[in-house]
Amino acid sequence: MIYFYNVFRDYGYGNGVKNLNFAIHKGEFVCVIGPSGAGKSTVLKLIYMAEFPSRGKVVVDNFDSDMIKKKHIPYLRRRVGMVFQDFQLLTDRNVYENIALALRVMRTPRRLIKKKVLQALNSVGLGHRAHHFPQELSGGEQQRISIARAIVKDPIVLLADEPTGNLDPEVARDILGLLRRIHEKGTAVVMATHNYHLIRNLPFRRIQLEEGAIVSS
Amino acid sequence: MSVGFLIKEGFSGLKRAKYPSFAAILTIAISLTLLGITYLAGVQLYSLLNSMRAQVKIEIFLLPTVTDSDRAQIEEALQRYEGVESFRFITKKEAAQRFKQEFGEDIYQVLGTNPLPVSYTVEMDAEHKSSAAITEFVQAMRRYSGVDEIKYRQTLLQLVERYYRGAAVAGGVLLAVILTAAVLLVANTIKLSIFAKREIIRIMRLVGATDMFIKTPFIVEGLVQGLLGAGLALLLLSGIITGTNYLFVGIVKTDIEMGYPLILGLVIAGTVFGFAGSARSIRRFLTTEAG
Repeated sequence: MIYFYNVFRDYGYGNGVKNLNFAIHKGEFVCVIGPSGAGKSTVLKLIYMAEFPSRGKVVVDNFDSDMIKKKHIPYLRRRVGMVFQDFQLLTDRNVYENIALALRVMRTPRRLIKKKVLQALNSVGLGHRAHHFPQELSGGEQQRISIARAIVKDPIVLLADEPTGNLDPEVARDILGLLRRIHEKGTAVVMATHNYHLIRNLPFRRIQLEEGAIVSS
Repeated sequence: MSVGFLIKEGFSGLKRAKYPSFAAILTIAISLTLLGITYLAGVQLYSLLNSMRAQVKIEIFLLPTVTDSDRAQIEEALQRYEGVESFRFITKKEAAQRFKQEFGEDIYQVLGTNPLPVSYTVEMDAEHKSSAAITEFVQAMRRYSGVDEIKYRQTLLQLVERYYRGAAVAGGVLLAVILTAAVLLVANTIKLSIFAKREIIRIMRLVGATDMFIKTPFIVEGLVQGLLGAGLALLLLSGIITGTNYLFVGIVKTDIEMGYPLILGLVIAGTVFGFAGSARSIRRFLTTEAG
């Protein structure tokens, strides 16, 4: 499903990645770990093609970094759900509209949008928050909304870049629990984190990065 | 996804970025008002110059020795000459009456006789009221026997023509400057309003929006800004026109009117400004902004 073939990404000032070779399969839960600046975010950016390899190639589903045209990137992003440390919610619209946006860009029919948004909201336990604005919610709730937005389109993989980075430990564990439940329903999850303690007891595969290179996988 | 959603997004965009939107509307309104003022001033000047030109009449004075056959030939020539709109024969008696009207003196009483010659007053059509056309006409008519002197207000005509050309050039330059400034200002203001929404654009891209999906609301917003700007400009202009008509009552001969061509022109210009400004700015923003 996701393949990295000899991938290098050189920014010219460090923080890039070197010679990455790995595959992530359907339904897997993979933790990308390593200290800050190890290249975790770059790995995720290479998957949703906000970055392109300087050498090598990345294949995600049917999208090949060597062949993809700029106009096709939106179609890749509709297959990939993304969650960020800073939630990336639009503060000018309510929770319902934030989640619905992910479906509207895909030209989903309106009646289906309502059904799916409410389902997604319920699955993150925030069905009652549909008409609130992001700034009216706690950090943990905002992250749940951003997860709901990521899963509402039934992605093949959920990419989470430090999803617990801005949250206190208890809320962080809740979010991790939520990601596990999503994974149990069959969605692949790739989570980048520098918080080794959070994931050390998880029975999942780890890709450990240091200075842009894989040190264990 | 529906067109309705994108149009709704465009309108809500106006509310979401109130200040940049207001700035864009105001910029469009001020630019269009300046264009409108230039246009109205041009129209006023044009009608003033035309009314001055309309006063230009040619007088062909005949010799006392003129014969009936000379006059017949002159009249035939006047009828045939392309550009002569009308002509009238002025008898000695009529000339005396005119003299009395103009100077308040009866020429018979002053001189005991009427030395005023008979003449023709000739009016040229609008196309032939230029100094060059009249000079050509005068040269043609001088060749006829019985013609003594041909007079017209040459200096006035030349003055009018010089001002007319000057005004046209100045008006054209002014319009070009205002248009260029307006297009640049509008594009920059819309760019600011797009920049204010860069977060929205970035997040839309992250969730898989195509460029077309992102662009459409901005273009709708630009069109609405253009139309609102045009509406505001029309209000400002009608205020300026009412004020001018009131202040200069009696000085300006005819009341200044807005007129449909101006209204239509401003609405079209506003729409084009808004559309072109937003389309150009959002396209540039999407090409340069990575993500």
